[in-house]
Parts: sequence; C-alpha cells; structure tokens
Amino acid sequence: MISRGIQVVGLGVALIAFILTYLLRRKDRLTSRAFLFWVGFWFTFVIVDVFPSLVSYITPYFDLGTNMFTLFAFSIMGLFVMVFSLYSYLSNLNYKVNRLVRKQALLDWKTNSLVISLDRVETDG
Amino acid sequence: MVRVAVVIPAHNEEQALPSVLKGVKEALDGVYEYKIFLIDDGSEDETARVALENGIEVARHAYATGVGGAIKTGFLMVKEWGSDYIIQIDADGQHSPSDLCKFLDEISGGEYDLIIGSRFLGASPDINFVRRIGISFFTWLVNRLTSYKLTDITNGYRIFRAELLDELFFSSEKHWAIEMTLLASKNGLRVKEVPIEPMLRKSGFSQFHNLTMFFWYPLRAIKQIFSAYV
Repeated sequence: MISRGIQVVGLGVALIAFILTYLLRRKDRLTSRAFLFWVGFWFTFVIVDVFPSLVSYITPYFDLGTNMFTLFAFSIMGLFVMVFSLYSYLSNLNYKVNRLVRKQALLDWKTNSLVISLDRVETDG
Repeated sequence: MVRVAVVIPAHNEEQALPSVLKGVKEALDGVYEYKIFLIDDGSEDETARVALENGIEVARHAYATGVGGAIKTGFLMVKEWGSDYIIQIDADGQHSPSDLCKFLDEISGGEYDLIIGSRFLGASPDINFVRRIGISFFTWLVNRLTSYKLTDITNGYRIFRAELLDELFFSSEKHWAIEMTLLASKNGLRVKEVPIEPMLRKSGFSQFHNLTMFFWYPLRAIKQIFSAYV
C-alpha cells in the first residue's frame, strides 16, 4: 500500500513535469514525437500514482513479491536506461561538437594562411 | 634538410608560451627546416595573439576539446605541410626545449619509430603523490598489455616518424598519450624513452587543478585502454 502523502508528492511532480513538457514544446525545443512520448510517460506515471493497485496485475508475472517492490524494480531499470541513453546522447553530441570545432579551426587556419600569402604576393608584386 | 613539425597544444598559456617558442627556435634554428604549429584549445587569454606575434602557424578551437583534441588538430595541420618527423611539446614550460635535439638525434638513428620523454629516468621529478601513483599504475598496465618497458606513459613530450602518423592517429580527445602508445604496440612500432629534464610549471593551471579531474582521469583512461583493445 502506498501512503497518501507520497501519492500527493507524485502528483505534484507529475504536474511540474507536464508544465515543463508543455513549455519545452511551446518553445519548440521538443519535437511532436518527443512531446507525445513524455506526455504519455507522465500520464502513465499519474495513473500508477493514483491507482497503485494496478501494479498487482503485473506483479505475479515477474515473481517480485509486493507491488511496491515491482514498482521500485521497474523504476530503477527505467532510470538505468535513461542514464545510459543520456550518456550515449552526450557522447555523440560531444563527438560532433569536437569535430565541428576542429573543422572550423582548420578552415580558419587555411583561410588565414591564404590571406597572408595573398598579402605577401601583393606586397612583393 | 630534415623537416621537423613541432605541434604545441595550448590552453591559457600566454605567460609561458614566449619562452617555450624562443627555446624551440633556439634549438632548431639553422639545424633543421622546421615549422611550429600551435593549437589554441579554447583559451580565454591572449595565447593565440602571442603565438601569432611569434610568426608561427596557429589554429584556434572555439572551445576546449582537451589536449588530445588539440594535438589531433595539430596533426591535421602537419599533414598539409609534410615533414620527416613530428614532435609534440607542451606550451606550459614543463618540457624543456633544450631536450629537442636529444629526441631528434635518437629518432634519426633509425632504430626507433617513437621516442617518449621520461621524467623518471633522470632526476626525480616534482610530482605529487596521487599523480605519481596514477602514472605508475597506468605505466604498469600499459607495459603489461604491450611488450614495452616504459616508465612514464602519460608523458606528452614525444617524437615520431611522420610517415607513421596514420598509424598513431588516436581517437581520444583527452587520454591520447596512453592510446597512442597502445596503437604503437598494435602496429609493431619500436618505442624508446629518453630522460628529460623535469621542469616546474611557471604559470597557469595544470589540468589536475581540481578534484573532478582526479576523479574522472582514471575512469576515462581505463575506458580509453578498453576502447583501444576492443
């Protein structure tokens, strides 16, 4: 049984998350697909928060004992997946940014070298 | 005349840089045909301006990618120029340019492909205890993974034959020294260490000036060793 206090906190968290998701979408920082995913995610969160007994339908399939434990186990697994996907995303982003920084530095260097050569030719000429 | 490319990665080194450049020029002038390539790795000070005033080739990273990232940019610049040897030296003044000729004499003998400077072969260097443990551990680990018997695996003072650039072109933006040594071993290159004069940093900050770096360094280095082998 989940206490009412934690259910209320859960609802507060979900409400803030809904607002943040909506604001991100309004500023065009989230794609429509990402927006739908997160709305779906937080909607599921609210349903499980308000009706925790729903978890009892899946608990027997995983042999995890109590509903609470099932909930925790799935939450922790979900968090691991999120941390890993964030790590992969950041590594990929870091790689792309470094590549871009390197390309820009080399382009500037080549352009400057050409300008210096041109100046020399013009001065000598 | 033998062509030597000198690659210098620099981050906020406007104070130390002039004496390093002066030292490099004094060591190589008239003996080798050389070009100095400085990569300003996202400095917030006047490092790039100081370098340009010294008439060397300068590329500027818009943000700090890491020492390895800067050296990789330097390697790409060197490729454009073409040289017989590529030497890497730090901009912080901890590598004495007077050792340059020692490196060049050693590599031009033809017995070795990569020469690495070692702070532990000569006089005892002023390195703090934690760093010393880290260096010893990674040196031991790389020696176990390769057939080398090195003493200072993380040292950035290195020279190698330019034709081996593709074989030694590492992927890491941060722990390039370890990866480069592993690549040398993978490609069957002959590696030797030479003693270098340990010098104290005169200005600026080491990359190890905060606790975060102490925490991340070993983890990233292990990841790099793993990546080099998988």
